[in-house]
Amino acid sequence: MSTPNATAAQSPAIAVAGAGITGIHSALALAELGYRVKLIQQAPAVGGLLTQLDHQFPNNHCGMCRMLPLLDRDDGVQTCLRRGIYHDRIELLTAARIEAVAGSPGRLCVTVRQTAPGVQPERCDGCGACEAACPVSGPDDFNAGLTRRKAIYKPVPHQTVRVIDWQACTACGACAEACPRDAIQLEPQAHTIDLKNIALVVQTGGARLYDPGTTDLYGYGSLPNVVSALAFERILSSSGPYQGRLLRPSDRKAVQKIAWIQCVGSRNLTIGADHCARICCMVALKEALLAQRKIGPDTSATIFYMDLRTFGRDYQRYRDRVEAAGVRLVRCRVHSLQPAGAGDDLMLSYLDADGNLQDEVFDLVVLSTGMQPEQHHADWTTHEGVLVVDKHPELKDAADSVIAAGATVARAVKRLRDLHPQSLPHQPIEKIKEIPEDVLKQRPVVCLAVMPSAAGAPIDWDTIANRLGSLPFNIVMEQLESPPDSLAANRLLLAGSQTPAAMSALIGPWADTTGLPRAFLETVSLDGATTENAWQRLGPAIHRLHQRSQPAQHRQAMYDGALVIGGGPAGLTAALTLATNGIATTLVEKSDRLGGRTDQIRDLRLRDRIARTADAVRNHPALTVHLNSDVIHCRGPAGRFITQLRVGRKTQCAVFHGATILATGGHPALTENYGAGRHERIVPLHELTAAVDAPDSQINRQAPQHVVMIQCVDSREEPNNFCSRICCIKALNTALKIKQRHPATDITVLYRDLMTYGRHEALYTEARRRAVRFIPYDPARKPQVIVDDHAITIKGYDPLLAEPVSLTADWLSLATGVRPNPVDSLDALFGVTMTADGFVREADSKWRPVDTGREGVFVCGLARGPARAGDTLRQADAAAMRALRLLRRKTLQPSTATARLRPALCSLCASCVAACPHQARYLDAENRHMAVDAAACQGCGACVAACPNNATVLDGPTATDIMADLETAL
Amino acid sequence: MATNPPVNEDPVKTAAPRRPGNQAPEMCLACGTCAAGCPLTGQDGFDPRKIVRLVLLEREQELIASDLPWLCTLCGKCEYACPMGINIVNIVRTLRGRVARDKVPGMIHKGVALCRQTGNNLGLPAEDFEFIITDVAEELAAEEEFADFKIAFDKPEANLLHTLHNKLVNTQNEDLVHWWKIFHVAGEDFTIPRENWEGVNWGLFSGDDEAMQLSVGRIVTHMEQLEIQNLMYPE
Repeated sequence: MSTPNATAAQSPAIAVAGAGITGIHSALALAELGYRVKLIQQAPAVGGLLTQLDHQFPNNHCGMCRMLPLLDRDDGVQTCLRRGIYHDRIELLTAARIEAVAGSPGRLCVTVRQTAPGVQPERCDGCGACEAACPVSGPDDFNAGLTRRKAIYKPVPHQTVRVIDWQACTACGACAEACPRDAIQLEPQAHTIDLKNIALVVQTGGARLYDPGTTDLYGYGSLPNVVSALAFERILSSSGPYQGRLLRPSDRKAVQKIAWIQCVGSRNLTIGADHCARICCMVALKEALLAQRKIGPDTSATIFYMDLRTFGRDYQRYRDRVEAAGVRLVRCRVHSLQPAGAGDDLMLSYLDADGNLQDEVFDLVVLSTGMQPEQHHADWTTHEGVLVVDKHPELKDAADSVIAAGATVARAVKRLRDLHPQSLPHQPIEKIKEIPEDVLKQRPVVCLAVMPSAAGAPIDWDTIANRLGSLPFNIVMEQLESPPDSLAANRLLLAGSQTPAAMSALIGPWADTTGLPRAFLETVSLDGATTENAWQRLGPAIHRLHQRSQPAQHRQAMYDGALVIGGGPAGLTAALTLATNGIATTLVEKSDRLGGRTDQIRDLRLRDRIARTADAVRNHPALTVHLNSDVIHCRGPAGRFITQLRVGRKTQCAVFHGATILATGGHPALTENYGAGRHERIVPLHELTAAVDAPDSQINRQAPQHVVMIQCVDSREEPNNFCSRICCIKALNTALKIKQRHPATDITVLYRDLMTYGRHEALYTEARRRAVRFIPYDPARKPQVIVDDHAITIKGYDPLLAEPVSLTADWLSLATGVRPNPVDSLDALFGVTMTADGFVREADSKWRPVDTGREGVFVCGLARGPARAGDTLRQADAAAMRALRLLRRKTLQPSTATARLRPALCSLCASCVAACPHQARYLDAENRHMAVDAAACQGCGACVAACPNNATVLDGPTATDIMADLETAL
Repeated sequence: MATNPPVNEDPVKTAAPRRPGNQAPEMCLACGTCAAGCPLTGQDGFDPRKIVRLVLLEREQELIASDLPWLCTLCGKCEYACPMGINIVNIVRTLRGRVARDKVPGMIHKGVALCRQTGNNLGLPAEDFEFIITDVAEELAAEEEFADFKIAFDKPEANLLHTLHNKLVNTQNEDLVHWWKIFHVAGEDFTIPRENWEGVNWGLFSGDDEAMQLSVGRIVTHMEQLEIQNLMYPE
C-alpha cells in the first residue's frame, strides 16, 4: 500500500510509559504533532489517580476531556478520557508494563509484559451478565476499599468493558457461562511482547500515595471512620460507595462534623519523609468546600494544618473562598485519634490559637495522605533513549503534570530530529491522499461496503440489495475486507458485525486510505442483526450520507511563522525551541537587550543555560530579533495572524504568523512598608540574595550579628492576593548561604505559611538544622519596623510563646514577591483575558495551562503567574509544543463538526462572539460578516443556538438526520 | 519578652542527650503535636511545645526557676509522636538536672539523698531490711506447698539477682509473696542483696546523673562480685 498510513506504520513510534495525566498529555501531544505513540499503562484503565477524583479545584469540576485534541478532532474520538483514549496514532496497551529496553535510540526494542484482560473488547457489549454471575467478592480499590467488587469488574465505572482480576479469579467459569457473546477467555494470563522500531521511550509517573496504615496513632485500618483523602473523594463521588451521599463507613450515618488532618506521611523525619506532598493542602480545602456545599449549613469542616500551602497563583483566593464558606482552619498538627465513648465517633485533641488544649468529637476524620518517601524508577529507565519526565517523582497538580509533559515532549521532539532527520514527520501534517473536491461535489454515490463478518447468514443480502434498488439514491454494494485504494463512489457506508465501538474505530483508517473526508464515511454495526434489523440500520445511514453536503469549509492556508513577545528566559526558550524545529520565529523585546531578569535567577546552571539560549537566539537563521520594539496591533484567526510591530521606536513592520507566544514576564514588586527606603540595610529580599552571592559585598566581608527576614510583604492579601511561590525558597537559600559563611549570625524569618512545597521542604529542614529561627505572624498583627539612630528594630509577636518579640537587625530583607510586567492592553491586542492581578489567564488552569482562551495564542513564564526559573523554562517549552502542533500544518483542516457561516444571512449582530466559549467567532471586517476560526471552533453549537438569523449552521447530524433515524427505528 | 538569643556556654538544647533517631530541638516545626498529645498541657501553664521553644531560645533559666519541669511525668507521649523525633523527655530531664538540688521537690530529693547514703530510698539499715524480708519469707513458708521456701541473701553464682522496689519493702510487702511463689514453683535460683538492693532509680526523675550512675554501679558491682548473669529490676 502506498497510503500515508502505511508510511506512518513504518516510521518508528514513541513509547510512553504510564497513562496518568502526564502520560495521556504526552501521548496526545506527540500524536497531535504527527508521531505514532504506544501508550503503555500498568493499570487496566487509563487516567491514573485522576479517575478517582471527580472534582478539581478551582472550579470543582473534572474537565479531563479538555486535554483532548482541539485540532484534527476527527483523528480521535472525543470522549471522556476515563473511558479510554481513541486516537488514530495512539495504540494503548493496558495492564502492561515495560520490563526491558534494548538497542540504541531511534531503534529501541521495548519488552512489555501484558496481562490478558480476560474479556475480548471487540465482542463485549458491556451487558454485565458476567459480573452478576461471578461468585468472588473482594475489596474495591477504586473506591479505596469502601466497597467490594467481583473478580470480573469494570476498572473504572465509566468504561463498558470489564476485565478479570486474575489474582482474585478462581477460574470457576461462571462468567464465561453467563456471557451471551462468548467474549470471555478464561485462560490467563500474561504474555511478553517485543515492541520493535521504537525511537524513544518517555517515562512518566512514579509517585505513589502514602499508606496511612503505617501511622499507628491515627488508627487508620482499625477505626472505620478514619479514611484517606482518596477514600473521601470516593465518598463525595456520585459513582462512589454511597452514590455521592456523605455517609460514613461504620454505620452509614450522615456526616456533619468532619476533620482533615494534614501532612500524614509528609514532613516527618521519623519516617524518612523530608518532603511536602505538594497537593494535599489544596485537596483538603477543596474537599472541605465540597462537603460544606453538599451537607449545607449544618456542616462543620475543620482542617488541622501546619502551613497551608496555597502556593499557586489563584490558590490564596481559593483558600479565602473556602474560609468564607465557613471551613475552619486550625494550625495544629494532630497527635492521635481515639474512639469517642462507645460509639463510632472520633475524639481529637488540639491546641487552639490561644494555646489551650481542646477536645473535640468528629463524625469522620480524613487523613491527607502524602506520598511514599522512597520512589525509584525501574532499571530500564537509565537506558539511553529513555526520557524520564521527573527524575524524582512527585505528586503534582494537574497543571504541573501537563506542563511537565509538554516540556518532555519538547525534549523528545528535539531528540527525534537529531536521530531521524527525514523519517519522522517534521514536515507539516497533511493527508497525502484526498479525493478531489469536484468529485465530492458531484451527485452523491454511496458505496455500501459489507465486511466479511456480516456477509453471511442470518442477513439475506439479496433482500437488502432489492430494497436498496428501490431507494432514489445511487448506491453500489461491494464486499470489502480492507479499505480499497480507489472507490467508485464519493460516500462510504461500512457494515460489519463488530460492536458499534469497534466499527467506529475503522473510520480513521478507511478515510485515510480511500481519501474520503470523514464526514462522508459512516459505519453500521450489524451485531446480532436479522435482515429486518439490518435494513433498519442501513437505510437511515444511507439517507444521511446522501444528504451530507460537502465539508464545511475550505481548508485555510497557514502562515508558518511564530511570534514571541518578550525576550526574557521564557521568551528566549520558547523562541529557540520553535526555531530549532524549523519554525521561522520573530522575537519582540521591549528593552534594548535580551535576557530579561536572568540576573534574578540564583541557580547558576539555569542562568548559564539561559545565557546560552540567548546566544543561540541571536545567531539562529530561523530567528529574527527586534529589540526596542513593541506590538501595535494584531488581527486574524489562529494560523493567520497579522501583527504590526513598531521596531526601534521609528519604523514599523508587519509579521505574518500562525501562532503567538506571550512571554512578557514579571518583576520584583516594590514596597513602602516595613521601613523600606528608610535604612540602607532594609532591602528587598532579592537584593540581599544578590549581595550574599557577590563575594565582595558588605555582608560577606563583615559578619552580621542579626539578620531578619519578613515574608509575604504586600502579598497574599488584597490587592495582591497571591503567593509569589519563589520567596520562601529564596529566603531559605539565602539564609543558608549566610549561615555557611557566618555560622554565628543569628537569622530570624517572620513568616505566615512557609511555602517550601514538594522537595523544597528539605530546605526548611536544613535551615532549622542550621538554627535559623522561625516566628509565624498573623496578617492582622504584622511586625513593626522601627528605624532609630541607624538601628533597625523589629517588633512582633510570637503566638507560640504568646508574647511580644523585639529583634534588632543588621540586615532586614523584605520578600515583596512578583508582579506581572505591565503591558499596555495586552488583552485587547491578543484577545486574551487577564486575572485580577494582571496575569494572563489560561484557557483552563488545570488541563490547558499554557493555552490562552484564544487558539493560537499561548503564554508562559511570569506573564502567566509566579513561577520559579525551572518552571518558567518548562512552561516555555510546553507553550512552544502547543504552538508547534499548529505550525506543523500547511493548512488548517476544519473537523467534521465545525460551525459554518451562511454569509448572506449574517446581520453582524455579534451574538455568536458573545456565545462562543472558545473565542472562535470574530468579525471578518474585510468581508463584512462574522467569521469562524476553524482551528478554534470545537463544534459545540453555542453560536448556532445564539444566532437569531440561522446564519450559522453546524455540520454533522442535523435535526432532519436525527428525525429520520427515529422514524426508521419506530 | 523574646529578643535575639543570649550567649550560653552549655545550653540545654545541646546538652540534653539524644537517643538513636532523636533530632536536635532546632528541628522543631512548632507543629503542636507534642502539646496536643500531652495529658498535662494547660495544667498550671504546662506546654511541651513552649518548653522546647524556650530551650531553643536558650531561655532555660526561666524554666529552671519555674515548676514546669516538675509537672512533666516523663511519659514520652509527646516524643513518640513528634514528627521530628526531638528529644523532649531528655530536655525536661536535663532541665531538672540544672535545678539546685535543694529546690528539687521534697520526696524525690530526700529519696535520692538517702539512696546515696544508704543504698535505698528509704534509708533502711541492712539488719532491718533482712528482718523484714526474712519475716515475709517465713510467712510464706507457713503455707503447706511452700514449706521449704527460703530467701538466700548475697548468694554467689545464683541465676537471678532480685532487686526490690522500696514500696514493696516499706508498705506493701505482701506483694513480694506473689513474685516468690512464682519463683519457687518455677525452681528459680535467685538471690537478694543485703545492701544496695534498691530497684528504682530516682536520679532518673530528679535529673541527677551522678546519683543515677551510683545506683546502677552498685547493681553492676553485685552482679560482678556474685557472678550473676540475670537481673530482676522492678522499676
